[in-house]
Amino acid sequence: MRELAFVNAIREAIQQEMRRDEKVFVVGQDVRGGVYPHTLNLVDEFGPERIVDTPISESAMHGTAFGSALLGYRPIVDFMFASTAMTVFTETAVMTGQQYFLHGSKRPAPLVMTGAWGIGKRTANDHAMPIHGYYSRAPGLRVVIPSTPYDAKGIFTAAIRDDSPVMIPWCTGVMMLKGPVPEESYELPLDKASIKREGSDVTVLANSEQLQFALKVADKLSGEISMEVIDPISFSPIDMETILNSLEKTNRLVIVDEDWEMGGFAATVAARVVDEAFDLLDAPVKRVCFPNMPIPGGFMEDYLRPNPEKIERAVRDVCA
Amino acid sequence: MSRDYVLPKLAMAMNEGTIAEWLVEDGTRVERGDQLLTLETEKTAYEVEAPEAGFFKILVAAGETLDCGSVLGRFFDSADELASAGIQTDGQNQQQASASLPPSVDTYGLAANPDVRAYDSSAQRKRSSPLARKLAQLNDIDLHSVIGTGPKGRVVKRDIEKAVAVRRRPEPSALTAVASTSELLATIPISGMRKTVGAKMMESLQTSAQLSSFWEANLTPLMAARAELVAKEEELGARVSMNALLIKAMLYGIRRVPLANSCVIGDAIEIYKDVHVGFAVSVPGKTQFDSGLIVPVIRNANQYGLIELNEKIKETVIRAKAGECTQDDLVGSTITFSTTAGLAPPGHRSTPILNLPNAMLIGPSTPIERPWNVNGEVKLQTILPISVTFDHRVLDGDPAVRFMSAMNEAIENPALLLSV
Amino acid sequence: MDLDISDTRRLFTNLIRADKFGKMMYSRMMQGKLIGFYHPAEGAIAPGVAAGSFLTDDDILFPHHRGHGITHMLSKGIDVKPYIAEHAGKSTGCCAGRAAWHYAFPEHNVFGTTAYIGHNFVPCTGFGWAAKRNGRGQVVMNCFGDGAMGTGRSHEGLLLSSNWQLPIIHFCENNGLSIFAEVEEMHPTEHLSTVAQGLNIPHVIVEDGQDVFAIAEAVIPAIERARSGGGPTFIEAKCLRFKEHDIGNRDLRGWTPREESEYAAMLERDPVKVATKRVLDESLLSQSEIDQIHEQAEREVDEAVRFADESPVESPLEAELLADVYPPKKTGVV
Repeated sequence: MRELAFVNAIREAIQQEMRRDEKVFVVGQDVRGGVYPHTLNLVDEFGPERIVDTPISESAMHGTAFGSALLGYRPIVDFMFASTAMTVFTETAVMTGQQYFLHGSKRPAPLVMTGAWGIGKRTANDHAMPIHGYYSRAPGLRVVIPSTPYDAKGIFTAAIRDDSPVMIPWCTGVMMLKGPVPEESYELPLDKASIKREGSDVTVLANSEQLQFALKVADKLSGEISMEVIDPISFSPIDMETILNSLEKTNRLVIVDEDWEMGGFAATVAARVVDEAFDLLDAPVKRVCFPNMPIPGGFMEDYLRPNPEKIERAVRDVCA
Repeated sequence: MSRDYVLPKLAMAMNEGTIAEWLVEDGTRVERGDQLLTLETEKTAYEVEAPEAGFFKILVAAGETLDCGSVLGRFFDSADELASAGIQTDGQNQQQASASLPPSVDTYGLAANPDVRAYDSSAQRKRSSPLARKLAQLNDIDLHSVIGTGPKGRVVKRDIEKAVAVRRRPEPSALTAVASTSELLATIPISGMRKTVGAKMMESLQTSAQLSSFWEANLTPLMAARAELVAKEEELGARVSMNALLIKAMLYGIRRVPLANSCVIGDAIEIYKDVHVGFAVSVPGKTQFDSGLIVPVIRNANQYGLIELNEKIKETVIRAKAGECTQDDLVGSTITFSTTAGLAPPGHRSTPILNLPNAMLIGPSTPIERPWNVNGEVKLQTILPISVTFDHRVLDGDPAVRFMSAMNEAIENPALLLSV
Repeated sequence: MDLDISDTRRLFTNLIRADKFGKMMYSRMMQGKLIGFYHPAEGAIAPGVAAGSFLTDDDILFPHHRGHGITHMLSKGIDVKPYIAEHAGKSTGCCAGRAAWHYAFPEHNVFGTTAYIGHNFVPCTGFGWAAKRNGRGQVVMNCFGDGAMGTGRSHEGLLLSSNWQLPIIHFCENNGLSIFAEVEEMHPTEHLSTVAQGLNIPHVIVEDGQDVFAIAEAVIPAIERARSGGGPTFIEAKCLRFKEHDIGNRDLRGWTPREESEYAAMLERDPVKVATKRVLDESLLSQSEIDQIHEQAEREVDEAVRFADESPVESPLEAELLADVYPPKKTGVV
C-alpha cells in the first residue's frame, strides 16, 4: 500500500469528501494558500467559494461554519493553530456543544473544527498548547485525535459525515509521520480507541507523538516488560470499554498525555478506572503529563514534556 | 451527622473478628435491627444486627480480620452526607496514622506501639493492591500472612499467587501420589469451623503438657440408680440421662480435688469456685463425609439439682445441634466433658485433646460387659471406660489420680452424688 | 406612507398581538409561572413587529432578547404557543423543556439565542453565507440592541457581511439603555449606524422607533435589497423601553432611578397608541376591525396560556437525556 504523510492523509480525506458532497467546504484564515499542507491547492479544484478565506476573525470563521451547518452545510473550520479556537471558546465549545441537545435534539450542527498543536517544536505556549483537555469538557462536542496517517484519513472522513460537531486537534509532532493509507474512501469510528500494540503486563494509553514514543519504549522493553499500547482516539466521549478490557489482562495502567496534568484526559480516566474497575488494579495508576506551568518556549519544552525516558520510568514503576 | 460502626466484641474472650460477608449494600439505608454482616470469630460465625438506623457506608471489605473496636463502617443521617463524606475517611485515617509514625515505617505490624492503637483500622490494614485483596478473599488467604513484595511492602497479585501455590503444594509422601491420581468424592476447604477446630487442636497439643489416663468404673450401681429415676420420669417431668449423673460424679471429684476445675491463663493457674462445664457436641460438617465440633458451656453446673442439670444438658445439646449457639455460649468453660458413649465401640479408650485453657477433660465412652470381682465373686458387670486428659503444668500425677479416684467412688457409690 | 393596506393591517395586527403577549408574559413572571428571566419589551415592540412581518418562513431570523423574541416570531408567522410552554419548563415546549427561556424553532429557521450579548452576529454570518450560497433569495434578519454594538463580535459580523455582501439585515433596536447604562456614555457617536457606515454598509436611521409603520418603511426596501443580492443593510430604530431591563431588576438610568416624568412622556408614545391613532386618522381600519383584532389577539393569548398551563413538566431520566446529547450515528455514506 502506498504511504502518505499524516497531514496529507488529512488532505485526502477533505478532498474526497468535497468531491463526494458539495455541501462540504473549508473556511478559515489563509486556507486557500494553505499554511499547512492539508488545504494546499484545494482551491484550484474547488474554487474560493468552497475553500473560503476570512479576515482574522475567529468568531466570524466559526460563525460561518456554525450558522451554515444549521442550514444543512457540512463545513470544516480550520483555526490553523488549535489554541486560536480558544479565543472563541464560548462559540466553539459551549455554543457548539449545546446547540443540538438544549434545543430539543431536533437540528444538528454538523461542523468539523480543527487546528494544530504540539509541544516540542519550540514554538512556546500559544502555538503549542493542547486544547483537548479544555474541549473534552464541553458536553455535546466530540473531541477526537487521530495519531497515524491511516487513522487521520478515516477519522476526518467520519467526522465530516457525522452529524455531531467534532473538534479534531492534530499534533504537529506527527505531521510528517508516514504510514500506509488506502486510496479509497473509508471511515473509522469516532468513539473507539485502537490497540496499537498488544501486550500483557501493563496498559499504556498514548496519543499523537507520545504514541510513537510509547511504541519505542515498548520495543526497548520487549522481553522484559510486555506493554499493551492503546491509542485513545476519542477524548470525548472516552472509550472506557477498550481500556478496561485491557486492564483485565494487565492490571496496570499508565496514561501518557502531552497535556497539562490538571484535570485532563488522564485524570478523568484514572478516576473512572478507580471507580469502575478498582479490583483490577495491582498498582496505582500513573500519569505522564506536562507539568502545571505555562509552556516555556524553546529548549525547555523537550525535557518538560512527556518523552520516552519518562514513559519508561512510569512503566517500570507500576511493574515494580 | 455520622457515627462510626466498630467491630463488636461479642464475648469477653473475643479479641478480633473476620468480616465473612456484608449483608447490606454499601451506601443503602439500614434500619435498626437489620442484619448488617456475618462476623466470624475463632469459635463461630455470627449474624450481627445494625445497632441503629441510617445510611451505611462500608469502610472495610469482606475478608478482612480486625481487632474488636476497629471501625468497619459509618452510619450517616442522609444519603447526601454519605455521598460527600464517605470516601475520604479511610484516607484520613491512613494519613493521620502515617503522620504519627516515622516515615520509613509501615503502619501495620506495630500493634504493640501505643501510638498506633488509636488508629486500629489502619494499623490492621496491610498495604495491598485492590487486586491482591480481591484475590486473597477469593482464595481464602489471610492477607496478614502474606509478605508483600510490591513497592512500600505492598502485597500484590504475584504475592497472593505465590501464597496460593504454596498452600496447594502437597507434602512429600506416598499418599500424595495416590491423592493426585485418584478421583475425588469431595473437596472440603479447611475454613470456618473446620479450620478453627484444627487450629485449636494443634495449638492445644503444641502448647500444653497434656497426657491421658484411663480407668474403668463399674457402672452397674449407677445404672440401677438411674433406672429408679427413669421409672419416675413422669412425676419428675424429666428423663434423667446417664450424662447428667456422670457430670454429677465429676462435680463430686472436683469437690474433693478443686484443682481439677482450673485453667491456665497467661502465667497463672486459675482455680475456680463454680464449675462451667464445656459439653462437647458433634454437629454436621460441610459435606456428608465430614463433621463439626462445638463445645457449648453449661455455666454454674455445680449450682443445679439433678433434674435442672439434666434439662440444661438437653437444652444445650439441642441448641448446639440447631446452630443457635452464641459467641458467649462457647467461652468460659472451666472443665470439659466429652463423651462418645453409644457411638464408639464398647470399651473404647482414647487420648482426647484438652480444650484449652481447661486443665482437664473427662471423656467417658461406650460401656462394655466384663467379668468383675463383686464381693469376691466373678460376675458380669457393666463397665464404663473413662479416658481423661489433664495438663501436667497444672496437675501432677498425685492430684490427677486423686480426682479420678474420687469420681470413680461417686460412680460406684451413687449415694455420694447426694453431696453435690 | 407607502405601505399598502394589507401591509398596514398585518403590521397593526402583529403589534396588538405582540402587545398582549408581552403584557401576559410580564404578569406570568409575576405569578411565578415562568422559569428563568423575562426581559420585557413593553413600549419597545414596534421594531420587532416591523422586523418580522415581512419575512417568509424560509428566511432566517435571530430575534432580539427584549421580549424574548415573541414579538419577532409571531410577526414572522410562527406559532409561539410552544415557546410559552418552553418558558414554563414544560415538556411540550419547543425545545422539550431543555432550553428554559432560550428558544429555537429550527423548522421555522430560528436557531436559538444565548446569554452572550453580541453572539447573534456569529451564527448570522453563517446563515448569511448559506443563504447567499443557496441562491433562492433567503434573507437573514439579525436583531440586537444598542448594547451589542460594544462587542467585538458585532464588528466581526458586520465586517464579514460587508466583505461578502451577505443578505443580512442588521436590525438595531436602540432604546438608549443597556441594563442601566446610557448609550450616550457607552458609544462615542450619536448613531450606532456609524460603525456600519465605516464598514461600507448602507444604513437607515428611523428616528421614531415607536411608529411601526415608519420602521416598516425602512425594513421593506432593506429586505428587497438583500433578496436581490444587494448585500447587507444596517437599520437603527430609536425606540423606548417602558420597563426595567429584566423583571426583578431596578429600573435605573445610569445609577439613579428613572424619573416619573420620563415614564409619563414615554407613555404618550406607546406604540399601540401611536399606531391606533394613525390607522383611525387615516381611515385605514375601522374601530370594529380594530376591536376584532384585539379580541382575536386576546383569544390567541388565552389559548397559549392554557396550553402552557395544561402541559406537563416531565423529568426524563439521566440515561434518556444522555442518549440525546449527540445526533444519531449515520450508517454508510449519506
